Amino acid sequence: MDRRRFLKGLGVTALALPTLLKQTRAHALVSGDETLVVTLHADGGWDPAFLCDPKGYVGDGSDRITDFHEDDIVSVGAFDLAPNRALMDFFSDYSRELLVINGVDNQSNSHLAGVRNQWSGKLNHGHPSIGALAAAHTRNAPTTAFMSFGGYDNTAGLLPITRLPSPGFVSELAHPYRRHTPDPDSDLVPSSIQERLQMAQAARLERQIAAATLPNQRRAMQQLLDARLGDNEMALLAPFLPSQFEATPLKQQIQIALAAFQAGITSSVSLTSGGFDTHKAHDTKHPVALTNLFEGALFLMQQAEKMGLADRILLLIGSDFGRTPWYNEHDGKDHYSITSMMMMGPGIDGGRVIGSTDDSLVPDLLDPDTLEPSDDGIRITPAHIHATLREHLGVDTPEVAGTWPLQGDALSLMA
Amino acid sequence: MRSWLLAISVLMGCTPGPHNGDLAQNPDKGSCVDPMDYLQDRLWPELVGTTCLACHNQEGSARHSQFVLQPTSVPGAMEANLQILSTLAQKEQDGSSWLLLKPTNTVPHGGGQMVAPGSAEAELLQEFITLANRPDLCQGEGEDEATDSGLGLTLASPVSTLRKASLVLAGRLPTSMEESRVRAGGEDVLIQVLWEMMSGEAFADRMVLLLNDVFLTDRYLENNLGVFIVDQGRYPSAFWYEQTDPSDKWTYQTLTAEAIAREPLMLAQHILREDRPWSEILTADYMLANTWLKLAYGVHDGPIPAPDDPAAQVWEEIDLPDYPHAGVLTTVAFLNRYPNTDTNRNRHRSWYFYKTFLDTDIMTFADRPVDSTDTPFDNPTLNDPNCNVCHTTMDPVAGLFQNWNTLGAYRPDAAWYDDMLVPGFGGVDLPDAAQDEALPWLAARTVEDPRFDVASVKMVMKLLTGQEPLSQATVTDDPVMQKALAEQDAWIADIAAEFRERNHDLKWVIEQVVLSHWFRAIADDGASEATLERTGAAIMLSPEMLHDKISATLGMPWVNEASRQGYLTEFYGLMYGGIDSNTITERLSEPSGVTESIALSMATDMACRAVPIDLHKSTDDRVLFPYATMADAPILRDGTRDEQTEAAIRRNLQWLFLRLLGEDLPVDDPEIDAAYALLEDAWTTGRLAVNSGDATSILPGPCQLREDWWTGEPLPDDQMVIRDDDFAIRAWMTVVTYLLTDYRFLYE
Repeated sequence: MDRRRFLKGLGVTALALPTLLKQTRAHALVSGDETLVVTLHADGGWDPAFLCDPKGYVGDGSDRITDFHEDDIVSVGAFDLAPNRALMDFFSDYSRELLVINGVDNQSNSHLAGVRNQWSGKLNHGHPSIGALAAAHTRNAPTTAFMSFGGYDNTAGLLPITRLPSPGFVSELAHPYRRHTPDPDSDLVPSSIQERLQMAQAARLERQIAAATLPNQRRAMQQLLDARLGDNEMALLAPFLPSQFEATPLKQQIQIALAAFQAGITSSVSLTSGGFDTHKAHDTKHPVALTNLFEGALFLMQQAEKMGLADRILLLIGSDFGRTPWYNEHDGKDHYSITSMMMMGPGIDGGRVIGSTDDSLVPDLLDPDTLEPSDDGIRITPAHIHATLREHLGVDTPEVAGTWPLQGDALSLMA
Repeated sequence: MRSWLLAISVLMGCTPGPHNGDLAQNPDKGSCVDPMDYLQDRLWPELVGTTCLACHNQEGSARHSQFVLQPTSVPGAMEANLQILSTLAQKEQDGSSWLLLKPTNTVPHGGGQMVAPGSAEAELLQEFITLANRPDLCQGEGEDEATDSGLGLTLASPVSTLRKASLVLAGRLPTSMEESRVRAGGEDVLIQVLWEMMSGEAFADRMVLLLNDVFLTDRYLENNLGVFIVDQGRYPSAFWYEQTDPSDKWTYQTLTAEAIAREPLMLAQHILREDRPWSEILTADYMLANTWLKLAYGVHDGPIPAPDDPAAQVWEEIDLPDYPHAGVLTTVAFLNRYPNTDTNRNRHRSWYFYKTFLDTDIMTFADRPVDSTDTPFDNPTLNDPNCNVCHTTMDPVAGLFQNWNTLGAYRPDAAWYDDMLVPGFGGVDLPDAAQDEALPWLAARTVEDPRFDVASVKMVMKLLTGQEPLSQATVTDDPVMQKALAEQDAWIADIAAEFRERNHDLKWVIEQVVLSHWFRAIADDGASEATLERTGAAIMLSPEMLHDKISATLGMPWVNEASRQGYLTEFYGLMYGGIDSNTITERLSEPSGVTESIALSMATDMACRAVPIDLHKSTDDRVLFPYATMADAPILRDGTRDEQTEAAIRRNLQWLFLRLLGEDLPVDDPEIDAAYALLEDAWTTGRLAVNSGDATSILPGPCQLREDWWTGEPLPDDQMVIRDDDFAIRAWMTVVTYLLTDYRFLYE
């Protein structure tokens, strides 16, 4: 985003613009050494007891909190898992890369507050998601750096949100000077005039910005100029889109996100997979939601591997909160503030589980230095995790910490 | 067709056109004809009063239509008639005004063809349509100047405010009459015109669109979901259309789904249209229904109308038997949109109710940490202070929804949970006598609560400015932000208090917001930092509003040529920041590379379509090029310039800035110079390319005019526009693209 200030500082004139346009375009892309931050949100509040903090019953299961016996718990690498095929498939393939944090105290039973805390590290309104923070701090981030398909995608005004719910229109919009045709000779505005038009547009906006006296108006104009001076992101994206798209929305979104990352127009994406708010028929519905989620996660990583991007994906998986260690009268489970979180990616030492809970999903306290159980330890909260993630992603600047402070210090979670 | 206007022009010794930006020195209102004069002198006595009025009166056979006239014996009749005629004149379909399409029976007219196309009567109507659509023709007398807000802010002039308000509130440009009156009468007349605008159908339709951002019930328009959210146990006729002829069945299903989905918004529209107190949004003891909804609810008497029967589309107040109505709260769509579960126990409904109607987001109380693992209480929501901080407020109102199940069906005698706080509101328990009418009981108390007034004012602010008002939960401790919040809340408190005194007149709140600095500040003139913090935020137009603005300014919409579906409303809406009323409920306010691609695609496409079509028309019918012609080259083929030609081009550019951007510039303004330079540059470059063979002299295929764009009828050879030997059309297309991507076009 430095180019904004660069242009503004120069007081760009029409004469200077052609060169500047080329310069900015050459740099307004996510570079090849950047990471794609993927936040995958299990919408509604997942149940860690059915997941990576499994609690199988013993005996006849009269006081069970899951539908599987403790003998059915599956060990994959360092992990104990509930017996769910998609979950096991994902963990089997990535057991060495995955870091699981169990017993996370999300501090809320409210969907809205829980989701905020999970993805921003704060229960309060108005804090940016970790994905938005990461995108805003990507070097030379284009205006499409943060792509959202749902989930907590608050940007706190740091950068725009890009929505591409369907791949169908990308090729249409890739060539805005044409009418739905790949023929380069069919531009409605001849190519010889396009750059003159762009110069005139940018110069006009610069004059408007210079004349505007209301800060909010000037900011809106500057945002438009930023979007306009960027490269034609849709044209960059189009060649990277697959010829065939998957049937499920989550997998389609993953395909678009990976293509956008490969094209250099996106460095962070917010994904969501629903069905977890199982207040009724938990044992029937929850495994289905988990299957969809982890089939999606597996698809993401497998596709990334095929595209040679797997070692540049930072995947974070979390949910609103957890679910009660008991069933309600409708065979469902209600909200519970203790949850789990998963992550994998560059710089994360995988194959480990941090944290634990007892049979009632009460977290064991951890020594903040060793992360081993300790009676006078702490509970890990989203604030600790986000402080660690901010540090890991290099977005823990004084400005960020001052504007959106966290009530928890970074822990040595990553290695 | 233009004879009458021309005759006036000749008599006055001047030519039609927009003023040159300096009215005081060089008034140029040559063809200014007061539309009222025209109506009284020509249109009424020769056609409307003698022909249309027979059916289009309050008792006539067309009394249910949108076009109901007043006889001249009624005080103020001609003003009302002028307003409705002007509105119809501006309403277009397939590029033609409804004022002409209807009586010529080009679109189905209940009375059949009353005016023959091309007849003298059609000319009369066309003259009026021209007057209504050309604000430049009647600039009127008076100064139109920016004003001081008293807060160190400069406010947009009355005419500029009118343009913005007209686009936001009615999705159209002001009529010439409206603009002329406001220019002459200033602020007071602006208010009059705003109220006239708010009595029109365009405003009523726009409010449906805007208020969906609040209720989000349009979610059920998609895939006819509306018919599937009705409790068949309560409403066994919900699928009434299944018994109809297969050829009509799906049409009936769609009509029924739309009616069920739109019931809450039609109630809101009805309240505004009938000038009822906005409090009826909660307290209405009736429901709004059209025939399709009555059929679904089993309360329709009589035969099933044909799908295209306009009478069946008329919404009216009805009272469902044994059903305690409480405005929007007891509509099926609303109750489904904010559903209940056995464990949620109506708390979601309670949260929404407080947030929307009482300016209280209970979830901001939930910002404090809660520990599920360490509560010593059996019933935490009732007894644990960490939990009941929310639930003490939330649960009693949740209990008041006890009579309505998840699908919105009424269940009298429903028992409420005895492990929750008892139903009630404001510290008062629901009386036994009101157990079966809990929501009407709640509604009556809510509208007496001052927070209802504040919530209503904030709702209007957000809908008109696109900006969420500040709240304590969303501002930081920064003293500037705190002062901004205090300033905002003081303004809201004043408006809210008077809103109550005015019997909850929401239109008055709309007027106040439009007149305020929140809506019309254009410059800082020494305002405080806190004032500036929340002022002048120009918001990217929503896809729906941009769609309307394109139609209003270019005279044609941006639609897929084959399906005629709007690109911004049907295809690119979500990518351009729109909502789906389901999972995506917040509009984007910042542009990105994606929105910019859509904007550029729109501008290129619309310039390609509109420029040849407009240049093809006779001069007096053009909306974009009333002064320039294809022959007007900025540089002649011999390299020389012609002063008269340059003047005409500049005048047309001046007109385009006014028409498309609302900027009233002198012809020698630097912005006109810049646009002229772009035109000249494009022209010179393009002409050289054509001469050298690098470019063709044929227009790109999509821009060629071979058939009537609206009807698809092939044009005669001599009316086709295919060649562009001199690159004139493409040069103008470049300039129109430039203007359609302008900040002033994409934002309001």
